[in-house]
Amino acid sequence: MRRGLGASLLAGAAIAALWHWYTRETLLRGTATVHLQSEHEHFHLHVDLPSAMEIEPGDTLIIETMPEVAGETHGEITYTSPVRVHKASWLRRNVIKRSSIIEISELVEHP
Amino acid sequence: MEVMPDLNSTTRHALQEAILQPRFYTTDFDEVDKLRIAHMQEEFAWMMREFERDYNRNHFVRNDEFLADFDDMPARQAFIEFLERSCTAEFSGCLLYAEMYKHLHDPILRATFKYMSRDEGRHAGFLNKTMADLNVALNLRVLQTRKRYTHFKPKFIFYATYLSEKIGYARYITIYRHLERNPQYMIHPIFKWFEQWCNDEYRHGEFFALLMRSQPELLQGGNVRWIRFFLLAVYATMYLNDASRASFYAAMGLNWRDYDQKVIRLCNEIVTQVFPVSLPIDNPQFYRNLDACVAYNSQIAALAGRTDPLAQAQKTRLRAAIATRLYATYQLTPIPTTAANIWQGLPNFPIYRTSTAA
Ligand SMILES: [Fe+2]
Ligand SMILES: [Fe+2]
Repeated sequence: MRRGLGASLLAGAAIAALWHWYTRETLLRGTATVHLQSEHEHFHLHVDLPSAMEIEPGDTLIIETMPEVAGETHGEITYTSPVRVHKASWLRRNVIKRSSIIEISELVEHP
Repeated sequence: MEVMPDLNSTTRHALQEAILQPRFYTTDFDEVDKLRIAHMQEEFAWMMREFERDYNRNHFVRNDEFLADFDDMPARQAFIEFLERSCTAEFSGCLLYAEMYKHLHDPILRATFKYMSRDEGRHAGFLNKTMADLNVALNLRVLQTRKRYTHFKPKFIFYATYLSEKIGYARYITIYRHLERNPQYMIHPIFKWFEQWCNDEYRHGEFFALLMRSQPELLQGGNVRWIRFFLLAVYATMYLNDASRASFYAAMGLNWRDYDQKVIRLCNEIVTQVFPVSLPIDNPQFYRNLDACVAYNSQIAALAGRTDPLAQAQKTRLRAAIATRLYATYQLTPIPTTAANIWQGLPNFPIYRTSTAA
Protein backbone atom coordinates (compact mmCIF):
# COMPACT_ATOMS: atom_id res chain seq x y z
CA MET A 1 0.00 0.00 0.00
CA ARG A 2 2.71 2.40 1.10
CA ARG A 3 4.88 1.25 -1.82
CA GLY A 4 2.01 1.90 -4.23
CA LEU A 5 1.55 5.39 -2.85
CA GLY A 6 5.28 6.06 -3.16
CA ALA A 7 5.30 4.90 -6.79
CA SER A 8 2.32 7.12 -7.59
CA LEU A 9 3.98 10.11 -5.97
CA LEU A 10 7.17 9.41 -7.88
CA ALA A 11 5.29 9.09 -11.17
CA GLY A 12 3.41 12.31 -10.41
CA ALA A 13 6.66 14.12 -9.65
CA ALA A 14 8.23 12.81 -12.86
CA ILE A 15 5.25 13.99 -14.94
CA ALA A 16 5.35 17.41 -13.25
CA ALA A 17 9.10 17.67 -13.93
CA LEU A 18 8.62 16.67 -17.55
CA TRP A 19 5.80 19.18 -17.94
CA HIS A 20 7.93 21.88 -16.36
CA TRP A 21 10.75 21.03 -18.79
CA TYR A 22 8.35 20.94 -21.74
CA THR A 23 6.79 24.33 -21.03
CA ARG A 24 9.95 26.15 -19.96
CA GLU A 25 10.81 29.04 -22.26
CA THR A 26 13.85 31.22 -22.64
CA LEU A 27 13.34 34.80 -23.65
CA LEU A 28 15.55 36.46 -26.25
CA ARG A 29 15.29 40.15 -27.02
CA GLY A 30 16.62 41.98 -30.03
CA THR A 31 15.87 44.49 -32.73
CA ALA A 32 14.49 43.44 -36.08
CA THR A 33 13.78 45.16 -39.37
CA VAL A 34 10.13 44.87 -40.33
CA HIS A 35 8.83 45.27 -43.87
CA LEU A 36 5.10 45.83 -43.93
CA GLN A 37 2.83 46.44 -46.86
CA SER A 38 -0.91 46.13 -46.57
CA GLU A 39 -2.75 47.43 -49.58
CA HIS A 40 -4.30 46.32 -52.80
CA GLU A 41 -1.00 45.89 -54.64
CA HIS A 42 0.65 43.74 -52.01
CA PHE A 43 0.16 42.35 -48.55
CA HIS A 44 3.16 41.11 -46.64
CA LEU A 45 4.87 41.38 -43.28
CA HIS A 46 8.47 40.22 -43.37
CA VAL A 47 10.74 40.33 -40.34
CA ASP A 48 14.52 40.29 -40.66
CA LEU A 49 15.79 39.01 -37.35
CA PRO A 50 19.34 39.50 -36.08
CA SER A 51 21.41 36.45 -37.01
CA ALA A 52 21.62 35.27 -33.38
CA MET A 53 17.83 34.96 -33.25
CA GLU A 54 17.11 31.96 -35.43
CA ILE A 55 13.53 30.74 -35.14
CA GLU A 56 13.10 27.07 -34.32
CA PRO A 57 10.04 24.84 -33.96
CA GLY A 58 7.85 25.76 -31.03
CA ASP A 59 9.21 29.32 -30.72
CA THR A 60 6.96 32.35 -30.60
CA LEU A 61 8.00 35.65 -32.14
CA ILE A 62 6.52 38.92 -30.94
CA ILE A 63 7.02 42.14 -32.89
CA GLU A 64 6.66 44.83 -30.27
CA THR A 65 5.74 47.81 -32.41
CA MET A 66 3.28 48.11 -35.22
CA PRO A 67 2.60 51.40 -36.99
CA GLU A 68 -0.84 53.01 -36.71
CA VAL A 69 -2.03 52.46 -40.26
CA ALA A 70 -5.67 51.44 -39.80
CA GLY A 71 -5.18 48.24 -41.75
CA GLU A 72 -3.79 49.91 -44.85
CA THR A 73 -0.36 51.27 -45.76
CA HIS A 74 0.60 53.38 -48.73
CA GLY A 75 3.52 51.49 -50.16
CA GLU A 76 5.90 49.37 -48.10
CA ILE A 77 6.86 50.61 -44.66
CA THR A 78 10.26 49.51 -43.35
CA TYR A 79 11.03 50.13 -39.70
CA THR A 80 12.99 48.70 -36.82
CA SER A 81 11.19 47.23 -33.90
CA PRO A 82 12.16 45.53 -30.66
CA VAL A 83 11.26 41.85 -30.91
CA ARG A 84 10.99 39.03 -28.40
CA VAL A 85 11.51 35.39 -29.19
CA HIS A 86 10.17 32.95 -26.66
CA LYS A 87 12.41 29.96 -27.26
CA ALA A 88 10.73 26.63 -26.75
CA SER A 89 12.44 24.03 -24.58
CA TRP A 90 14.53 21.30 -26.21
CA LEU A 91 11.77 18.85 -25.35
CA ARG A 92 8.96 20.88 -26.92
CA ARG A 93 11.09 21.64 -29.98
CA ASN A 94 11.70 17.97 -30.60
CA VAL A 95 8.14 16.92 -29.90
CA ILE A 96 6.95 19.49 -32.46
CA LYS A 97 9.59 18.45 -34.96
CA ARG A 98 8.48 14.83 -34.78
CA SER A 99 4.75 15.28 -34.55
CA SER A 100 3.91 18.12 -36.92
CA ILE A 101 2.66 15.70 -39.57
CA ILE A 102 -0.60 15.61 -37.61
CA GLU A 103 -1.04 19.30 -38.49
CA ILE A 104 -0.73 18.51 -42.15
CA SER A 105 -4.13 19.99 -42.97
CA GLU A 106 -2.59 23.41 -42.24
CA LEU A 107 0.00 22.90 -44.90
CA VAL A 108 -2.30 21.64 -47.60
CA GLU A 109 -4.89 24.41 -47.51
CA HIS A 110 -4.10 26.82 -50.28
CA PRO A 111 -6.69 28.39 -52.53
CA MET B 1 -0.28 50.12 -61.21
CA GLU B 2 -3.31 52.28 -61.81
CA VAL B 3 -4.45 54.21 -58.76
CA MET B 4 -8.02 53.51 -57.81
CA PRO B 5 -10.19 55.99 -55.97
CA ASP B 6 -10.46 55.26 -52.29
CA LEU B 7 -13.55 53.31 -51.59
CA ASN B 8 -15.49 54.99 -48.88
CA SER B 9 -17.53 52.24 -47.45
CA THR B 10 -21.22 52.93 -47.74
CA THR B 11 -22.26 49.47 -46.75
CA ARG B 12 -25.16 48.94 -44.37
CA HIS B 13 -23.26 46.08 -42.82
CA ALA B 14 -21.45 46.66 -39.56
CA LEU B 15 -17.67 46.84 -39.60
CA GLN B 16 -16.31 43.36 -39.23
CA GLU B 17 -12.79 42.31 -38.34
CA ALA B 18 -11.06 40.00 -40.79
CA ILE B 19 -10.01 36.73 -39.24
CA LEU B 20 -6.52 36.01 -40.46
CA GLN B 21 -4.74 33.14 -38.83
CA PRO B 22 -1.61 32.63 -40.87
CA ARG B 23 0.55 29.60 -40.23
CA PHE B 24 4.19 29.90 -39.40
CA TYR B 25 6.49 27.13 -40.46
CA THR B 26 10.12 26.29 -40.09
CA THR B 27 11.93 23.61 -41.95
CA ASP B 28 15.45 22.32 -42.15
CA PHE B 29 16.74 25.16 -44.31
CA ASP B 30 20.28 23.75 -44.29
CA GLU B 31 18.97 20.56 -45.85
CA VAL B 32 17.17 22.56 -48.56
CA ASP B 33 20.31 24.59 -49.09
CA LYS B 34 22.28 21.41 -49.74
CA LEU B 35 20.02 20.30 -52.59
CA ARG B 36 22.09 19.89 -55.73
CA ILE B 37 20.44 21.33 -58.81
CA ALA B 38 23.53 21.89 -60.97
CA HIS B 39 22.70 18.90 -63.21
CA MET B 40 19.47 20.69 -64.19
CA GLN B 41 20.78 24.22 -64.02
CA GLU B 42 19.43 25.15 -67.47
CA GLU B 43 15.92 24.14 -66.56
CA PHE B 44 15.99 25.93 -63.21
CA ALA B 45 17.35 29.06 -64.87
CA TRP B 46 14.59 28.88 -67.49
CA MET B 47 12.01 28.56 -64.72
CA MET B 48 13.47 31.52 -62.85
CA ARG B 49 13.28 33.62 -66.01
CA GLU B 50 9.63 32.67 -66.37
CA PHE B 51 8.97 34.19 -62.95
CA GLU B 52 11.14 37.16 -63.82
CA ARG B 53 8.83 37.91 -66.76
CA ASP B 54 6.10 38.56 -64.22
CA TYR B 55 3.23 37.72 -66.54
CA ASN B 56 0.67 39.05 -64.09
CA ARG B 57 2.41 42.32 -63.24
CA ASN B 58 -0.55 44.31 -64.56
CA HIS B 59 -3.28 41.79 -63.98
CA PHE B 60 -4.38 42.65 -60.45
CA VAL B 61 -5.76 46.06 -61.28
CA ARG B 62 -9.23 46.73 -59.99
CA ASN B 63 -11.91 48.29 -62.16
CA ASP B 64 -15.23 50.04 -61.57
CA GLU B 65 -17.00 46.74 -61.02
CA PHE B 66 -15.38 46.60 -57.59
CA LEU B 67 -17.12 49.86 -56.66
CA ALA B 68 -20.55 48.26 -56.88
CA ASP B 69 -22.75 47.79 -53.86
CA PHE B 70 -22.31 44.25 -52.52
CA ASP B 71 -24.64 44.66 -49.56
CA ASP B 72 -27.19 42.27 -50.97
CA MET B 73 -24.91 39.91 -52.82
CA PRO B 74 -25.82 36.24 -52.40
CA ALA B 75 -23.98 34.32 -49.68
CA ARG B 76 -22.24 37.52 -48.53
CA GLN B 77 -20.98 36.08 -45.23
CA ALA B 78 -19.82 32.85 -46.85
CA PHE B 79 -18.02 34.93 -49.47
CA ILE B 80 -16.27 36.94 -46.73
CA GLU B 81 -15.14 33.69 -45.10
CA PHE B 82 -13.87 32.50 -48.47
CA LEU B 83 -11.86 35.75 -48.78
CA GLU B 84 -10.47 35.35 -45.26
CA ARG B 85 -9.38 31.78 -45.85
CA SER B 86 -7.90 32.62 -49.21
CA CYS B 87 -6.07 35.68 -47.90
CA THR B 88 -4.70 33.64 -44.99
CA ALA B 89 -3.42 30.95 -47.34
CA GLU B 90 -1.85 33.45 -49.76
CA PHE B 91 -0.25 35.37 -46.91
CA SER B 92 1.11 32.13 -45.38
CA GLY B 93 2.55 31.15 -48.76
CA CYS B 94 4.14 34.59 -49.07
CA LEU B 95 5.86 34.15 -45.69
CA LEU B 96 6.98 30.57 -46.34
CA TYR B 97 8.56 31.44 -49.69
CA ALA B 98 10.18 34.53 -48.16
CA GLU B 99 11.75 32.39 -45.43
CA MET B 100 13.11 30.10 -48.13
CA TYR B 101 14.80 32.87 -50.07
CA LYS B 102 16.23 34.37 -46.90
CA HIS B 103 17.84 31.08 -45.88
CA LEU B 104 19.10 29.71 -49.20
CA HIS B 105 22.33 30.52 -51.00
CA ASP B 106 21.82 29.23 -54.53
CA PRO B 107 21.05 32.41 -56.54
CA ILE B 108 18.53 30.72 -58.83
CA LEU B 109 16.56 29.13 -56.00
CA ARG B 110 16.70 32.35 -54.00
CA ALA B 111 15.37 34.41 -56.89
CA THR B 112 12.65 31.89 -57.70
CA PHE B 113 11.37 31.80 -54.12
CA LYS B 114 11.47 35.58 -54.02
CA TYR B 115 9.33 35.82 -57.16
CA MET B 116 6.86 33.28 -55.79
CA SER B 117 6.65 35.24 -52.53
CA ARG B 118 5.97 38.36 -54.63
CA ASP B 119 3.08 36.59 -56.39
CA GLU B 120 1.50 35.32 -53.16
CA GLY B 121 1.79 38.75 -51.51
CA ARG B 122 0.11 40.25 -54.54
CA HIS B 123 -2.71 37.71 -54.38
CA ALA B 124 -3.11 38.38 -50.64
CA GLY B 125 -3.29 42.14 -51.28
CA PHE B 126 -6.01 41.72 -53.89
CA LEU B 127 -8.09 39.67 -51.46
CA ASN B 128 -7.33 42.02 -48.59
CA LYS B 129 -8.67 45.00 -50.55
CA THR B 130 -11.75 43.07 -51.61
CA MET B 131 -12.47 42.39 -47.95
CA ALA B 132 -12.10 46.11 -47.20
CA ASP B 133 -14.77 46.85 -49.85
CA LEU B 134 -17.15 44.67 -47.86
CA ASN B 135 -16.36 46.60 -44.67
CA VAL B 136 -14.18 43.82 -43.32
CA ALA B 137 -11.17 45.48 -41.74
CA LEU B 138 -7.84 43.91 -41.21
CA ASN B 139 -6.40 44.35 -37.75
CA LEU B 140 -2.67 44.24 -38.35
CA ARG B 141 -2.09 43.78 -34.63
CA VAL B 142 -3.10 40.14 -34.93
CA LEU B 143 0.04 39.71 -37.01
CA GLN B 144 2.31 41.01 -34.27
CA THR B 145 2.57 37.63 -32.64
CA ARG B 146 3.78 34.63 -34.56
CA LYS B 147 2.81 31.87 -32.25
CA ARG B 148 4.43 28.49 -31.97
CA TYR B 149 6.23 27.94 -35.23
CA THR B 150 5.68 24.43 -36.43
CA HIS B 151 8.07 22.32 -38.44
CA PHE B 152 7.85 20.23 -41.57
CA LYS B 153 10.60 18.26 -43.20
CA PRO B 154 11.64 19.81 -46.52
CA LYS B 155 10.25 16.89 -48.51
CA PHE B 156 6.86 17.26 -46.81
CA ILE B 157 6.86 20.95 -47.72
CA PHE B 158 7.67 20.07 -51.33
CA TYR B 159 4.92 17.44 -51.66
CA ALA B 160 2.31 19.50 -49.84
CA THR B 161 3.12 22.83 -51.44
CA TYR B 162 3.30 21.32 -54.91
CA LEU B 163 -0.13 19.80 -54.38
CA SER B 164 -1.66 22.88 -52.83
CA GLU B 165 -0.46 24.99 -55.77
CA LYS B 166 -1.83 22.53 -58.32
CA ILE B 167 -5.12 22.00 -56.55
CA GLY B 168 -5.32 25.77 -56.10
CA TYR B 169 -5.01 26.08 -59.87
CA ALA B 170 -7.65 23.39 -60.41
CA ARG B 171 -10.06 25.07 -57.97
CA TYR B 172 -9.73 28.53 -59.49
CA ILE B 173 -9.90 27.46 -63.11
CA THR B 174 -12.93 25.25 -62.46
CA ILE B 175 -14.80 28.16 -60.85
CA TYR B 176 -13.69 30.49 -63.65
CA ARG B 177 -14.82 28.16 -66.45
CA HIS B 178 -18.14 27.51 -64.72
CA LEU B 179 -18.85 31.24 -64.32
CA GLU B 180 -17.77 31.88 -67.89
CA ARG B 181 -20.50 29.49 -69.02
CA ASN B 182 -23.00 30.67 -66.40
CA PRO B 183 -22.42 34.41 -65.91
CA GLN B 184 -25.70 34.77 -64.01
CA TYR B 185 -23.87 33.25 -61.01
CA MET B 186 -21.04 35.77 -61.01
CA ILE B 187 -21.66 36.91 -57.46
CA HIS B 188 -18.56 39.12 -57.34
CA PRO B 189 -16.17 40.46 -60.01
CA ILE B 190 -13.11 38.99 -58.27
CA PHE B 191 -13.85 35.66 -59.98
CA LYS B 192 -13.17 37.29 -63.36
CA TRP B 193 -9.54 37.61 -62.29
CA PHE B 194 -9.18 33.90 -61.57
CA GLU B 195 -8.04 32.75 -65.01
CA GLN B 196 -4.72 34.54 -65.03
CA TRP B 197 -4.40 34.40 -61.26
CA CYS B 198 -4.46 30.62 -61.28
CA ASN B 199 -1.71 30.57 -63.88
CA ASP B 200 0.54 31.95 -61.12
CA GLU B 201 -0.42 28.99 -58.94
CA TYR B 202 0.11 26.56 -61.80
CA ARG B 203 3.56 28.09 -62.40
CA HIS B 204 4.47 27.80 -58.71
CA GLY B 205 3.53 24.13 -58.92
CA GLU B 206 5.73 23.75 -62.00
CA PHE B 207 8.68 24.94 -59.96
CA PHE B 208 8.05 22.36 -57.22
CA ALA B 209 7.61 19.65 -59.87
CA LEU B 210 11.02 20.61 -61.23
CA LEU B 211 12.54 20.65 -57.77
CA MET B 212 11.25 17.14 -57.08
CA ARG B 213 12.38 15.86 -60.47
CA SER B 214 15.86 17.15 -59.69
CA GLN B 215 15.92 14.96 -56.54
CA PRO B 216 14.76 11.58 -57.91
CA GLU B 217 14.87 9.86 -54.52
CA LEU B 218 11.86 12.00 -53.53
CA LEU B 219 9.82 10.16 -56.16
CA GLN B 220 10.94 6.61 -55.49
CA GLY B 221 10.96 3.79 -52.96
CA GLY B 222 9.41 4.48 -49.58
CA ASN B 223 8.65 8.07 -50.58
CA VAL B 224 5.91 6.81 -52.92
CA ARG B 225 3.95 6.01 -49.77
CA TRP B 226 4.37 9.64 -48.65
CA ILE B 227 3.20 10.82 -52.07
CA ARG B 228 0.04 8.73 -51.74
CA PHE B 229 -0.44 10.03 -48.22
CA PHE B 230 -0.17 13.66 -49.31
CA LEU B 231 -2.44 13.16 -52.31
CA LEU B 232 -5.11 11.74 -50.06
CA ALA B 233 -4.54 14.40 -47.38
CA VAL B 234 -5.03 17.19 -49.93
CA TYR B 235 -8.09 15.66 -51.60
CA ALA B 236 -9.78 14.63 -48.35
CA THR B 237 -9.11 17.97 -46.63
CA MET B 238 -10.69 19.84 -49.51
CA TYR B 239 -13.63 17.43 -49.78
CA LEU B 240 -14.49 17.60 -46.09
CA ASN B 241 -14.07 21.37 -45.93
CA ASP B 242 -16.14 22.06 -49.02
CA ALA B 243 -18.93 19.75 -47.86
CA SER B 244 -19.49 22.16 -44.99
CA ARG B 245 -19.58 25.13 -47.38
CA ALA B 246 -22.24 23.80 -49.72
CA SER B 247 -24.30 27.02 -49.57
CA PHE B 248 -21.39 29.11 -50.83
CA TYR B 249 -20.96 26.88 -53.86
CA ALA B 250 -24.72 26.77 -54.39
CA ALA B 251 -24.76 30.58 -54.56
CA MET B 252 -22.41 30.26 -57.52
CA GLY B 253 -24.62 27.63 -59.12
CA LEU B 254 -22.26 24.83 -58.18
CA ASN B 255 -22.96 21.55 -56.48
CA TRP B 256 -19.99 21.30 -54.08
CA ARG B 257 -19.62 17.56 -54.64
CA ASP B 258 -19.56 17.75 -58.43
CA TYR B 259 -17.20 20.71 -58.20
CA ASP B 260 -14.79 18.94 -55.84
CA GLN B 261 -14.81 15.77 -57.90
CA LYS B 262 -14.01 17.78 -61.02
CA VAL B 263 -11.18 19.57 -59.21
CA ILE B 264 -9.78 16.31 -57.85
CA ARG B 265 -9.92 14.72 -61.31
CA LEU B 266 -8.00 17.61 -62.85
CA CYS B 267 -5.43 17.70 -60.06
CA ASN B 268 -5.03 13.92 -60.20
CA GLU B 269 -4.28 14.22 -63.92
CA ILE B 270 -1.79 17.05 -63.42
CA VAL B 271 0.23 15.26 -60.73
CA THR B 272 1.20 12.53 -63.17
CA GLN B 273 3.64 15.11 -64.55
CA VAL B 274 5.93 14.26 -61.63
CA PHE B 275 4.46 11.61 -59.32
CA PRO B 276 4.92 7.95 -60.24
CA VAL B 277 1.38 7.25 -59.03
CA SER B 278 -1.96 9.01 -58.71
CA LEU B 279 -5.03 8.01 -56.70
CA PRO B 280 -7.68 5.59 -58.02
CA ILE B 281 -10.51 8.12 -58.08
CA ASP B 282 -12.56 5.98 -60.47
CA ASN B 283 -12.57 3.09 -58.05
CA PRO B 284 -16.15 3.32 -56.65
CA GLN B 285 -14.75 2.71 -53.19
CA PHE B 286 -12.81 5.97 -53.35
CA TYR B 287 -15.80 8.34 -53.17
CA ARG B 288 -17.86 5.85 -51.18
CA ASN B 289 -15.23 6.28 -48.46
CA LEU B 290 -14.92 10.05 -48.79
CA ASP B 291 -18.70 10.45 -48.76
CA ALA B 292 -18.88 8.34 -45.62
CA CYS B 293 -16.27 10.65 -44.06
CA VAL B 294 -18.44 13.65 -44.98
CA ALA B 295 -21.43 12.00 -43.29
CA TYR B 296 -19.42 11.25 -40.13
CA ASN B 297 -18.04 14.76 -40.13
CA SER B 298 -21.48 16.31 -40.29
CA GLN B 299 -22.56 14.09 -37.39
CA ILE B 300 -19.57 15.43 -35.43
CA ALA B 301 -20.61 18.99 -36.36
CA ALA B 302 -24.13 18.25 -35.09
CA LEU B 303 -22.63 17.32 -31.72
CA ALA B 304 -20.66 20.58 -31.48
CA GLY B 305 -21.23 22.39 -28.23
CA ARG B 306 -22.14 19.21 -26.35
CA THR B 307 -19.58 18.25 -23.73
CA ASP B 308 -21.41 15.42 -21.97
CA PRO B 309 -19.63 12.05 -21.86
CA LEU B 310 -22.07 10.44 -24.31
CA ALA B 311 -21.42 13.13 -26.93
CA GLN B 312 -17.67 12.86 -26.33
CA ALA B 313 -17.81 9.11 -26.84
CA GLN B 314 -19.83 9.55 -30.02
CA LYS B 315 -17.36 12.08 -31.37
CA THR B 316 -14.47 9.73 -30.65
CA ARG B 317 -16.27 6.88 -32.40
CA LEU B 318 -17.01 9.08 -35.43
CA ARG B 319 -13.41 10.32 -35.64
CA ALA B 320 -12.21 6.73 -35.51
CA ALA B 321 -14.65 5.88 -38.30
CA ILE B 322 -13.24 8.71 -40.43
CA ALA B 323 -9.68 7.51 -39.78
CA THR B 324 -10.65 3.95 -40.74
CA ARG B 325 -12.27 5.12 -44.00
CA LEU B 326 -9.27 7.28 -44.87
CA TYR B 327 -6.91 4.42 -44.17
CA ALA B 328 -9.01 2.15 -46.39
CA THR B 329 -8.83 4.79 -49.14
CA TYR B 330 -5.09 5.05 -48.72
CA GLN B 331 -4.82 1.29 -49.15
CA LEU B 332 -6.62 1.29 -52.53
CA THR B 333 -4.24 0.33 -55.32
CA PRO B 334 -2.92 3.56 -56.87
CA ILE B 335 -2.77 4.26 -60.61
CA PRO B 336 0.78 4.03 -61.95
CA THR B 337 1.88 6.88 -64.19
CA THR B 338 2.54 5.62 -67.71
CA ALA B 339 3.25 7.13 -71.10
CA ALA B 340 -0.46 6.75 -71.81
CA ASN B 341 -1.75 8.79 -68.87
CA ILE B 342 1.06 11.25 -68.17
CA TRP B 343 0.04 14.93 -68.06
CA GLN B 344 0.93 16.73 -71.25
CA GLY B 345 0.86 20.26 -69.86
CA LEU B 346 -1.59 23.08 -70.39
CA PRO B 347 -2.23 24.33 -73.90
CA ASN B 348 -0.50 27.69 -74.41
CA PHE B 349 1.34 27.45 -71.13
CA PRO B 350 5.11 27.86 -71.56
CA ILE B 351 7.03 24.68 -70.87
CA TYR B 352 10.73 24.07 -70.91
CA ARG B 353 12.13 22.59 -74.11
CA THR B 354 15.83 21.91 -74.50
CA SER B 355 15.80 23.15 -78.06
CA THR B 356 14.13 26.48 -77.27
CA ALA B 357 16.14 27.02 -74.11
CA ALA B 358 19.46 26.65 -75.87
FE1 LIG C 1 -1.41 32.48 -54.67
FE1 LIG D 1 0.88 29.88 -55.27
